[in-house]
Amino acid sequence: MVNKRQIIMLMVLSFCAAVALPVVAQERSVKDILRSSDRARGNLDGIVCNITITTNEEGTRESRGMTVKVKKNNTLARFTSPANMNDRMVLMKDRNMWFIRSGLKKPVSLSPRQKLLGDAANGDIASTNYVDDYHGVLLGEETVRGEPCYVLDLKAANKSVTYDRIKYWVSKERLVGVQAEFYTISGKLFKTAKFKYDNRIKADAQEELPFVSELIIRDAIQKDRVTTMTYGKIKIEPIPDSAFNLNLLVR
Amino acid sequence: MWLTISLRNIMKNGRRSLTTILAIALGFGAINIFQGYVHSTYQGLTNAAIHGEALGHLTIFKKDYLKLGKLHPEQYQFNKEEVRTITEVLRRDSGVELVTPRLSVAGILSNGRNSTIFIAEGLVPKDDAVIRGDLTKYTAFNGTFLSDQEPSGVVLGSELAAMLSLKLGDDAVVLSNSYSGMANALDAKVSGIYNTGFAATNDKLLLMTFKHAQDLVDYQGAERLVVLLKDGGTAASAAAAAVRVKSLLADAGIEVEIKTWAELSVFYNQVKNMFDMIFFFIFTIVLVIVVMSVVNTMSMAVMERTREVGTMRALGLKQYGVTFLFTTEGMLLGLLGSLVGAAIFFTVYALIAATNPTYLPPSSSSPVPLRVDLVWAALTRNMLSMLVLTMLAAFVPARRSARMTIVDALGHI
Repeated sequence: MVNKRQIIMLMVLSFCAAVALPVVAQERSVKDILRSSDRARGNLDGIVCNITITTNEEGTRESRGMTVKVKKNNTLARFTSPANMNDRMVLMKDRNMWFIRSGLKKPVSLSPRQKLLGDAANGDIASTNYVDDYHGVLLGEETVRGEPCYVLDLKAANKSVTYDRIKYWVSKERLVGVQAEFYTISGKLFKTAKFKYDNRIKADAQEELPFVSELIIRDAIQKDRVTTMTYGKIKIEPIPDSAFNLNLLVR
Repeated sequence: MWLTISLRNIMKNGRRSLTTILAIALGFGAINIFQGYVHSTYQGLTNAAIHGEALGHLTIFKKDYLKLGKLHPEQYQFNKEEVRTITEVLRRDSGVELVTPRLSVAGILSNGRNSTIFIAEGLVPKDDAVIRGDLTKYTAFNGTFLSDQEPSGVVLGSELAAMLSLKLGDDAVVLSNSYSGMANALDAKVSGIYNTGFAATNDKLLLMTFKHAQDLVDYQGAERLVVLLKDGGTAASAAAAAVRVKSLLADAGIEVEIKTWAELSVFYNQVKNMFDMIFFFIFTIVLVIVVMSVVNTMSMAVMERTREVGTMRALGLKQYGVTFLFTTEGMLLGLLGSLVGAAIFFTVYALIAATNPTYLPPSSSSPVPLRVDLVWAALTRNMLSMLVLTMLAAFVPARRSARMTIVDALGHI
C-alpha cells in the first residue's frame, strides 16, 4: 500500500527532477546552438567558396576577392582579385595563421586578430568553431528584426581566438547566428556584425542547410566604416588534408 | 711724399708701431680664422643636407601631401602616370640634372626569430649614387650599396643589424601593410651595413630599392620626387628653382608643392640656427675686442705725439695736413697689420690642413673633420674693413689734436 510519506517523497523527487532536467538540457542546448550556427558559417568537412570583401571608408571603396577551401578547423584562402595578388595565400592550420606569397621563402606568421581589410580581421575568413573555442552562457531571448533569438554570451576559451568576447544572437527557428557584437578583453565594443544566410548547401546528402551569404560588419568606433563579406559559389567537395600542408604550399 | 713721411714716422715710433701692428694682426687673424671655420661648418652642413641626407636640391610632393599625406597616402602621392609626366617635363629642363622617385615605408624587420621596427627609404640605386656619391667610401660602410641588379637587397643601420644579429648576406623578412591596411611581407637580403651618423636613426634605418618598396606597399606610384639641379647649392638658388619648377609642372597639369633642401633638412636648420646664434655672439665679442684694441692703441699713439703735432703745426702744417698724415699712418699700420694677420691665418690654415683634427659633434655617431676654409672674398673684405677701421681710429684723435691751439699742443704732456 502507498502511504502519504511515499507520495510526498515521490512528488518532491519529481519536482527536483523537473527543475534539474531543463538546466541540464539547457547546458547541452547551448552547445547544440553553437554547433548548428558554426556549421552555417563554414565548419564542415570539405567546402569551397568565394569570398569578396568590400569596405568603404570616407568615400573610397576597396575590394578583395579570394577562393577559400575549408575543412573543419583548417582554411586556405587564395586571393583572386586584384589580379596582382593571386600569388598570395593565407592559411589557417590548427588555429595558426600564415601568410604565403611568391618572393617569400618562408611563410610569415599572422595573427587572426590582425586587420585583413576594413573591419574584417584575418580570422573572419576562417570557419567558426565557437562551440569549442568559447564558453557559452545563455543570457536570455530577444527578437531581432522580427525573429526570436537566443542571446548568448561567449567568452574565449583560449588565447588564439580572434575575439575575446562575443555577444551572439542565434535565431531560435533557424539555429543560425543573425547578429553579433564583438568586445575587447576590457569589455569595449569595437565592432558589430549582421549575418545573412541565403545560400543553401546539401551536406552528406541530407536536407538542405542554410549557409552564410553575407556579413555586414560595422566599426563601433569609426561609425562610418562598413565592411561587407559576401560568400558565393559554394561547393561541397572533399578536400584532402595535404591541401593545408604548409610546407607544400610554400614553393 | 705723405707716404714717405708716414712710413718714416711709423719706423721712428718703432715700439708703438709694433704694438699697434700686433693688435691689428691678431684681431685680423682671429676674425678670419673664425670666419673660415664658420664657413667650412656651413659648407659641411650644406653638403650633409644635399648629398649626405640624399635630399638633392628640391623635393616635389603632391599638393597638400605634407599636411594630409600621412593619413591618406594613396590620395596624396603620385600615381604611375604622374611620375612619368613629371620626370619627362623635368628632364627637358636645362637646369635639372637628375629626377628620381622615392617611396618611404615603415614596418617590421624580422630575422626569423625576432623582429623590430624599421623605417625605410625606397630609392633608385643608380640615381642615388649620383646624389649621395659613393656611400661605400664613407668610412663606416660594410658590404655593397643597393644595386638595380639585386632588387631585394637592403642596407641596414649598424645598430639595427646588431639588434637582430644580421650580418652581410643574411636573409631577412620585411613586413608592412599596404595602404589599405593588408599585411604584406617580402624577403630581403642584407647587402650593406653602415653607421648612419645619427644615433636616432642608426637603430631603425633601412634602405631598399624603389621597386622593393613599391611591391611591399602594393603601390606602383611614388611618394615624392627628388631633383638634383645643376646649381642649387645655396638656399636662395634652390628656392628660385623651386618656383620655376612648380610653375612648369602646373603648366603640365600637376599641382605640386616643392621644398628645398634647406627647408627640408631639419638637421641643417637646427644646427645652422644654433651656429648662427653662437657665431653671432662670438663674432660680436671678437669684433668689439679687436675694434677697441685698435682704437685704443691708435688713439694712444696719437695722444702721445700731441707735442709733435704742435711742432708740425708751428712749422706751418695745416690742420687737415696733420689729420691726413695721421690717417695715412693709420692706413699703413692697418695694411701692415692685416698682412701679418693674413700670415697668421695662413699658418693656422696650413697647420690644420696638415694635421686634420677631428671632433665628435652632438647626435653624431662618427667624428667630423675640423676645417677652416679659405675664402678670398672674405679675406679681402676683412682687410678693407680693417683699413677703414684703422684710418678712422687714427683720424678721430688726430683731428682733435690738430684742432688744439698750437701753444696748448706744444705744452701738452
